[in-house]
Amino acid sequence: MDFITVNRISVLLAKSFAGELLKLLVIYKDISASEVASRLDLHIKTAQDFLEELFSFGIADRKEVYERKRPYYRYTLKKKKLNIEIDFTALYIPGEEEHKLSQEIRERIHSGAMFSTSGKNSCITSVTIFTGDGREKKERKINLTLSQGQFLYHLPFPNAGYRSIKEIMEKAGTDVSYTPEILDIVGILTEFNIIESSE
Amino acid sequence: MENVKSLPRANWVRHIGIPVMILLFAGAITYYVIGEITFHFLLIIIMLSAALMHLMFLSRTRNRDYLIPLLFYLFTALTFVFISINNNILTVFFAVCALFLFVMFMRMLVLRRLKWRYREVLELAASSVNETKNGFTPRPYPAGQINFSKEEIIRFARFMLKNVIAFPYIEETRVVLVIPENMLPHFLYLKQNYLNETFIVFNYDGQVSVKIAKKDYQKYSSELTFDQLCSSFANLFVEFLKLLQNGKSDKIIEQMNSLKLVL
Repeated sequence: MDFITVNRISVLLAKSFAGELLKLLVIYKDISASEVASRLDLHIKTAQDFLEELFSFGIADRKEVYERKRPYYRYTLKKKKLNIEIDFTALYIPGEEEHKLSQEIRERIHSGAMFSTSGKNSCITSVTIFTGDGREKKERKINLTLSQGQFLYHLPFPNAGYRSIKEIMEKAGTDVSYTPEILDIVGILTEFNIIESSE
Repeated sequence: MENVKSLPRANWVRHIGIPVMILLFAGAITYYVIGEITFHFLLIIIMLSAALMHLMFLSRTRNRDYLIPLLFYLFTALTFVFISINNNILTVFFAVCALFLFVMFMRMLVLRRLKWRYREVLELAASSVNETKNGFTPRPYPAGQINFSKEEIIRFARFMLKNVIAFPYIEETRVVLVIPENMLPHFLYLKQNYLNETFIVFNYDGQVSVKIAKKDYQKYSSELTFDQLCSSFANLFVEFLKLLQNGKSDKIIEQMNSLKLVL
């Protein structure tokens, strides 16, 4: 099961009435949204949305019925059990981003970021980014790992020549096993316009 | 024509003229309002405080040149002590000594032997930078590797302090040479945090890095290309370190004095 599906199912099952509603599906041969709503004292839209979500995940089945010329759905429980299995390693596929190592980068001029340095090592401990203006101005502090801090310490200055991520990692003495976290911080800082690339 | 890279010239009227006028005016008011005895007492306190401060400079820098101002302030204080107790012989003795020391003190100032070298360092660092593309960042600049031992780096740090070129912080793994505009808070232990100042770091493993504070960078008349300025700054100190190792420490002072900055 992919992570996004698990995430959505978790949100659905976390609702306060989820247990009671699923119990109704077990007890009743089939049940409509209005019957669920009246039974659990919910708004009909809430009950309907929940049942539709169950249907979309394949947990419940639905059948269209006609009564007084107005069609509606009756739901039945399709899956008696639900096994959730998540492969966390699938969230990051090694090697997928390795081509990014050749990307040439440097710090953007007037980036406005604040860099805190370590008192002992030649590295940066955190980057503080400011977004918005005036009252909307927000501060976001990103704490760095040692390898990220050493990498950023060697990031070319604004107006200095661009260097590839690989070159900077070599200069900073960063082991290749740290590539994913280096690419992660480069990605975030690029997003916030702290780092610019030559492309 | 003024060097486009240089820091603005010191303003004699603002830095010397106005403070002296204020002091003289305050002195005159004090003398006529609160009386001669209290005026003498205040002067003694001020002179003794200045003497104490120079005793601190002397003990921390180990620079014997600070004996001259220390003795000048002390003898001036003693002169006013003996004026207050109407001892004419000792008054004249200490006044003559204080006058002699004052002449020596002025000579020291003219020869820049007690001058804090903040402006000289910034000027010399900028001298080899030719581009003006800005590019300021508050990040430290990794300036490369040197091949000096811990003892050599510490000796250099002490030389920097003795000649008040930089204020050193000797740490477990490195020496940080801070170049503050005002060294006094560092001397008086009022300021231990140097992170907002301009400084150069010599790690004992040989790594050198430079951080130039925004307030110092903004003092330059033009927006010098920042990475070049940092690199030049590091080269300047590495050159000083080499000169000291080769027994040519006089050349460091000569370079500073060649700029002929008085304030």
